[in-house]
Amino acid sequence: MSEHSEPATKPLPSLPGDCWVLILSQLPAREVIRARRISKQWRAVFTDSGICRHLLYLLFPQSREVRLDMLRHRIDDLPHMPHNLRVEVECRAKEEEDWVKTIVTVARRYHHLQGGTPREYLKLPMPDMVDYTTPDDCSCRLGDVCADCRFKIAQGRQFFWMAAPVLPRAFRSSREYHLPDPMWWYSQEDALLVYPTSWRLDDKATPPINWTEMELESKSKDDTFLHCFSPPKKSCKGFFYRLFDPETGEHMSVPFDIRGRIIRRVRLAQGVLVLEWIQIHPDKTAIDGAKVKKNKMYKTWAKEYGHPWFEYLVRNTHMVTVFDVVRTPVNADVEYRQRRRWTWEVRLRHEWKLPAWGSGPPKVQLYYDYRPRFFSAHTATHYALLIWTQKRRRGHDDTARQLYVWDISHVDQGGKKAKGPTLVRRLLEEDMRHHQDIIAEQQSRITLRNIAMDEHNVYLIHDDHREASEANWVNRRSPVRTHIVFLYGIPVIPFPPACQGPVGPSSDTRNQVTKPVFGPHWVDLCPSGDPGFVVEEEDDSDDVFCRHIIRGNELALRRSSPVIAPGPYSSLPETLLPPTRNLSYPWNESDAACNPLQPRNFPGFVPCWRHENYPYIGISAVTDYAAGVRWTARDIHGLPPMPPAVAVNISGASRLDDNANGHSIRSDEVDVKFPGFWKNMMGRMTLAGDERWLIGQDSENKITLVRF
Amino acid sequence: MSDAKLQKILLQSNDGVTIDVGKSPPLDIGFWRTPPSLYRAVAERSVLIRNMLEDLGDEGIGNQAIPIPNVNEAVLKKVIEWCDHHRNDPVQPADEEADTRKKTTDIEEWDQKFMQVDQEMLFEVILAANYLDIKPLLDVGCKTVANMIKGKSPEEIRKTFNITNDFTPEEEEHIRRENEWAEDR
Repeated sequence: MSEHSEPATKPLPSLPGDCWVLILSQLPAREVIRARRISKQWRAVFTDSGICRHLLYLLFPQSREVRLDMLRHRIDDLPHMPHNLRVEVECRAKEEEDWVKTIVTVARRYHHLQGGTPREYLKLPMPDMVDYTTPDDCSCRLGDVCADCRFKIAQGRQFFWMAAPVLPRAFRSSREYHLPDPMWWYSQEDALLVYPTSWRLDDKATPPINWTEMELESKSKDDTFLHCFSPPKKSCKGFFYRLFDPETGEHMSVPFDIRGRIIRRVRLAQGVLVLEWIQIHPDKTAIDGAKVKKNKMYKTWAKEYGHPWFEYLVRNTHMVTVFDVVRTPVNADVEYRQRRRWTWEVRLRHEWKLPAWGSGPPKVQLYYDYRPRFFSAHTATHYALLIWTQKRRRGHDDTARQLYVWDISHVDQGGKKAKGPTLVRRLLEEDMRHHQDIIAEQQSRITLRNIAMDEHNVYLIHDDHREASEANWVNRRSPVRTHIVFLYGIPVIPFPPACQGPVGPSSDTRNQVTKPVFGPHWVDLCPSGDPGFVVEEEDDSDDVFCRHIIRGNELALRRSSPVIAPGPYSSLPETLLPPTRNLSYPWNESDAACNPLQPRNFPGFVPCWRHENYPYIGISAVTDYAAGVRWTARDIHGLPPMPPAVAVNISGASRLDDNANGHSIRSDEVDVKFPGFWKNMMGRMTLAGDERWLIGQDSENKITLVRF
Repeated sequence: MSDAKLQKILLQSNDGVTIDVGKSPPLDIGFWRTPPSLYRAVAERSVLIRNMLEDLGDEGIGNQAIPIPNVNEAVLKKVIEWCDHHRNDPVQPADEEADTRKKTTDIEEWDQKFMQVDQEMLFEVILAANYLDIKPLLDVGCKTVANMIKGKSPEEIRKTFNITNDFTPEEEEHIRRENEWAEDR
C-alpha cells in the first residue's frame, strides 16, 4: 500500500482519453503496461479499449496487428487483396478485437525483439527415415547436421538444391559444397509452415501445441531447447506433408501421397503450395528405343561417378503438383471457434509433367560440379522453371539453359481429362543470352543461385563470392577478387492490354514495340571503385577481403545500383515497366503504411548483404519488410561464431533499407541472446519467419520455431 | 488577418472574468504598440478561437467577450501567457505533427519553467489546451506529465501524483504476474 494513505486534498482532474493517449505515447510501452497496477482509476484508464487501440497505432505503427486493422477499414477499396489475407482480415473483423490484450501482446513482442531475447520456442520433429525410396546407402558427410538421414538422402540431398552458397564453418571441412533446400517452407504471406511428418493426423482433432518458455539463464547450451512437441504415436502412410499454422496451432494434412515419389522441392508462397518430385519407378511404356540407349548411357555414367541419384533425375518422370492453400473461416460450433478463427483447405490445382532436359551426361571435373540444376519460382498465377546444364563439347564448356513459364491460374475443373496449366513462355539458351545475361556466360564458375519471380519478370539471381565457389574454396591460388551480386529480369508475362476493345490506344502502342524488351537489372560489384567498398589486401597472402562500408549519408543511392537498361526500356510506357521507376527503391512507394499487403519485397532487389558486418559473411537473412524486422546470421572462418542479429524498426520513422540508403542497418541491430542458435536454427542454413517468429532447422532434423 | 479591424479580443472565463487578450503581455512601450494583428496571433494559437473568429467575422463579434465555459480565470490567464510567448511560432503542418511527437520528450526551457506549477494547474492547463485546441501547448503539457511518469516504478508514480493504492495486495500481485515481463529485472 502507498505510504500516502491520505488521499490528495483535491483529486486531480481526470483527463480525457485523447490526452492520456498523448501522455502515454511518450512512454516506453513497457511502462504503460506496468502502470496498470497503480490504482483502480489508472487501471480503468489504461485498460480502456479505445486508448489501447490508439496507443498501439502510435507506438507500433508497423506491427502486424495495426496493419491488419488498417486493412479492415480499407477492405472495400482493395479488390485485389490476396484471398488468404482478406479472410484473415474478415475473420478478425467478425469479433471485436480485444485491444487491451493486443497491446500487451505486441508490446511484449517488441520488448523481446528489442532486447534480442526470445520468449518461447517450439520444436516440430520431421521424419528420419522413409522406406519408400530406393537410394539406400547413406554417404552423407554433413557431420552432425544429419545423423540419421536416410529420409533426407532419399528425399533431398541430391535432389534439392543449394540454399546457402556461402559456406559456414560447420561445412568448411567437408566436401559438401552445396546444401540442399530445406524440406520445409514458410510462407510469409500466408503465415503458414509446410513440413513433413510421419505421424498420423486425426481428422477431428489436431494435437495440442504447447510452446515452451525459453530459459535464457540456462548454463548449458544444450538445455535451452530441451522440449519438443511430442506427436501422436500412430504413424501415417504416405501423406507426409503437413501445414502448420503457428498462430492457431493447427495442423492440416496435404493430400499428397509421397509413396513412390521422391520429393525434390517444396515451396509455399502466395497461397500456392508447389511440390516438385520424381517418380521412383520409370514409366517403361513411355520409353522408346532411343531413350533406352540414352538411359543406359546415363546409368553407366552414374555408376562410374558414384551418383546413383543422377539416374533418377534423368530416367524418371519429373512432375509438379500445385495445391491451392486457402484460408477458410471457421463456422462450426462455438467451442471449436473459441480456439481458432480460421482453418485451411488444401485443394489440388494442377499436376503436370515437366519437359525432358539435357542431352548426354554432364562433365565431371575435379572440384567442379556440373550437376544439372533446377531452379524454380512461383507466384499465385505463374510457375517458372529454369534448367541449367553444362557439358563439355568440342573442347569448351557449353552451358544450356531452358526457362519455362506456365500459367497456373486456371484451376482444373476435374473434368474427364485435366488439361494442366498453359505453357506461356519457353526460352532457350540463345533467348537467355539475348536478355543480356553476359556475365554468367563469361565466367567459368557457376554463379546462378536462384531465380525469383513477380507479376511480370523472372529474375536470375547470381551471387558470386570468393567463398561460394568450391573451386576457390579448394584451390586458394585463384581467389575471386570481387564479390558480385547481379540480377537480370527477363520479362515473361506481359501486362494485360489497358483497353480490351478491338482497337485502342494501347494496342497501337503495343504494335509499335518492335525492339527487344528487357526487364529490370541490378549489379552490385564489391569492390568496384564505388565509395561504398574498400578492398583490403593482406601482404603475405592472396587473401582479398571486400569490405562493404557505409558512411553516414554519403551513399544516398549507390551509384552502381540498380542498373536499368537504357534504350528500349524507356520507350515502353505501358507494356513492361519494371517495378522500380525513377531509380528509387520499391518500398519508398510501397512501405507498410502505403501498402500493407506486401510483406515481401520486390524480388529484384538484391543488394550485397553478405558484407554488412565485415569481416563476417552473411549466411542467411530473413526480412519482414512490412514490419521492418530483419534477422541475419553471420559467420566467418577462424573467428568465434557470431550471435545472430535482429534489426527492429519499431517506430516506423526510418525504414529498413539493407544498407542501401546510406543508413547502416547495423546501428539498429541487437544481438539475439540465443544459446545454441547455430545448432538449433541453422541446420540447413536457412532462416524463415516474420516479426512474430523465427524458424530454422536444427541438427537433429527438427524444425525450431522461436516466438518473440 | 492583414486587414484586421478587431481592436482587441475578449475572452470570458467560466467564473465570469473577462480577459483582454491583447492587454497584458504584448509590448506597449513608448512608440511601439502591439498592433491588433498580434492580438489575433495570440488568440489564434487556439484553433477553436480561430475558427470562431473566421466563422463569425469581426463584425459578428464586435466587442463582445467570447465565453470559454470550461476554463477558469487563473488557467485562462496562464494559457494566454503561453500563447503570447509563442505567438510567432510557425503553425505546424498537420503531417509534421507525427514527426515532432516522436522526437523524444524534450521540452524547451521557457516551457519547462512555464510548466513548473502545481499538478492541479498542470492538469487544468492540459484540459484547457485540449478544449481550446492548442496543439503545441497540449503537447508540452502531456510531455511534462509523461516526464513525471517516465522511468518510475508504480510506487514512485503513486507518490508523485499522490495516488492511493486501492488494490488489495492479492489483486496487485495478480496484475503484476499478468505482465511480469514488463517489470524491472
